[in-house]
Amino acid sequence: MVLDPFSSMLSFFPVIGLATLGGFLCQKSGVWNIAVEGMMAFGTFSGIFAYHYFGQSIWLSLFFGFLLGLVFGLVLSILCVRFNLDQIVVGFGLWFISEGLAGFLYFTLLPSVRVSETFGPKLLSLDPMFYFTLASFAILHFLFKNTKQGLAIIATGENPKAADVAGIDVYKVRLISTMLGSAFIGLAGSYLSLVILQGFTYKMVAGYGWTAFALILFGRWTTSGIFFGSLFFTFLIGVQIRLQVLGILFLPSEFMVIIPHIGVIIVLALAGVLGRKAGMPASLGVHYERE
Amino acid sequence: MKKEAFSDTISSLLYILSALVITLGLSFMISSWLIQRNLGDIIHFFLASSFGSTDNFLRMLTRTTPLLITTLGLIIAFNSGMWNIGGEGQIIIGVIVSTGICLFLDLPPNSSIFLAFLTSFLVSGVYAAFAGFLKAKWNVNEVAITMMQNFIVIALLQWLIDDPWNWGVGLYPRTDMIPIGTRLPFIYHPLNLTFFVGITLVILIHYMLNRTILGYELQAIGSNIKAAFSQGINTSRLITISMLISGGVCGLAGSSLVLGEYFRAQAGITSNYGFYAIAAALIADNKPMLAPIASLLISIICEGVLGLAALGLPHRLGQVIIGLIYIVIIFPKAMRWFRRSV
Repeated sequence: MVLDPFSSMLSFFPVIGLATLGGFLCQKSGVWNIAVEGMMAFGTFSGIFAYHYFGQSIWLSLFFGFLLGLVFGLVLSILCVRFNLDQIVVGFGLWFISEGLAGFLYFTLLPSVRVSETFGPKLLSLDPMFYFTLASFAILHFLFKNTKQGLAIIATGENPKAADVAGIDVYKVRLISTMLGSAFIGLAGSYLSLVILQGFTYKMVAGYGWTAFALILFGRWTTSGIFFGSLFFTFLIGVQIRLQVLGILFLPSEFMVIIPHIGVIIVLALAGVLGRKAGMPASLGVHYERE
Repeated sequence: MKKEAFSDTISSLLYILSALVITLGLSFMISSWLIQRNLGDIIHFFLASSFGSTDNFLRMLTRTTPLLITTLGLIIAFNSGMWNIGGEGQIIIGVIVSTGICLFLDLPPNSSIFLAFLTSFLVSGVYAAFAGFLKAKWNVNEVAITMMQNFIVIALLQWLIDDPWNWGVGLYPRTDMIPIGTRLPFIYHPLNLTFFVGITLVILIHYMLNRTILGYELQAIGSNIKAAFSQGINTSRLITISMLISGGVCGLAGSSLVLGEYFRAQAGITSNYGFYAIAAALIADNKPMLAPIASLLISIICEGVLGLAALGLPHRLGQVIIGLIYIVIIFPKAMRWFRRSV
């Protein structure tokens, strides 16, 4: 798994990056997706499930993880956008459902599966998913900066009423962003189980979903913020793994995953104290109902 | 008017019960198909673990107590319109503080029990009030802050039981047992004194919310903060106070876990109670008097699913069922099936 310094430093980037990006897309359109951890957990299961049943192909399994993420996103957006249920409660519910379901289904449906293949082809000892993540961030940046669709997503997150008046279908925009975002989260999960840890254990996501959630807030809801945030955090994990191998600890490992959480509290509190805008979409978590 | 409210409460209770039965029934049917076992067996094992014997029943009540206390804590915050989802972290603060006091302060047992409860309440309250203060003063989103706090404190506990407070050779992530004198006595094994603490808190909090000025003001800012402000209620002070009490009560749940149930701090000591209590508070419709029933229901599910492990059914099923409950409970509210909210 840990082969050479460069790749091990960045091997976690698809997991953190894609999950952060997915959650970001949901939040930008005004839907708190606090089930990131659970959707990733379900992604880890669905990747392994597809690997076992649909012919041992990592590419196909990753795609299956993506598809099931899409399904969970559909459920989330039906409940939160169509039925206007409270997003925090639904998020908690989906978190427990998907995490529990992942463990439950794995232990009832599958024998213990090991992924033996390595994922390739590699360029500069980094696998295709790394470049896919980079490309996704680039596309996202382009989407929000230069396209009508990106602007529609931002508008529904900031002021759905105005967006509706301007002729944007708020429900549709939220539905699509939530589904796509959740699909990316599922993909991140299945990458974690298929490529990095090469198997399934219960609770293998181990807080990375919440880290991704924190990174969105830490990046203050900007594409560049979440990109550099997740890159920096990936780098920290890489350093941690290196140092653990050498037997040096600069921080107890328990504190690794929560660095972004501390960052979030500082960033949000500071933004409040200084009277700056934290950059949070104004209608994040707010229901929209047509009158 | 009063009669309508009453019939609405009845119909929403009926809804909740039937929704629970349907959710459980469906999950059992699916799992009986998955593991190829008789549905009757599953229901039998599920119920036996809570109602099979006096011992099981009392154990279930013991497990309910911390959940009940946490639910009460959250209800205070929810009544004042604060989304305190930091219950998990607040319990853990209580766990850390109580374990620390009982293990490392060499006090007479009774005073260390008293001090453990008091300090847990204060530390955990101040810890939660931090989020309330940020919200009140600068309108910082409390959902984000309390959630982030959870993970910081979970990591803190994990570090403490892995390293400085670890007992023995580090095989198990847990601390030493607290001295025998500081363990709360059993009323009737395995039911212990914390059960009475829980029941007392139900009455106290019911009284506080419905019969005192503070409670009135808390409910006022919960139902309409702008109206409350224009009536001259100091909203920012009240938001902080509401989080202080809410977090403090959740901290008491932590001390009761240490002093009454586990007698040490260990990994997974909270069993997700901080999060499950949100579901319980939703079932109880933010009413302290309904909290015992609500937390009992959640607890029956948790225990029942542990019993199903004997059939080879992974107890993760419990997590799925409670997840479903979250969604099922809030459904009628959005659909406006009842005049009053559920």
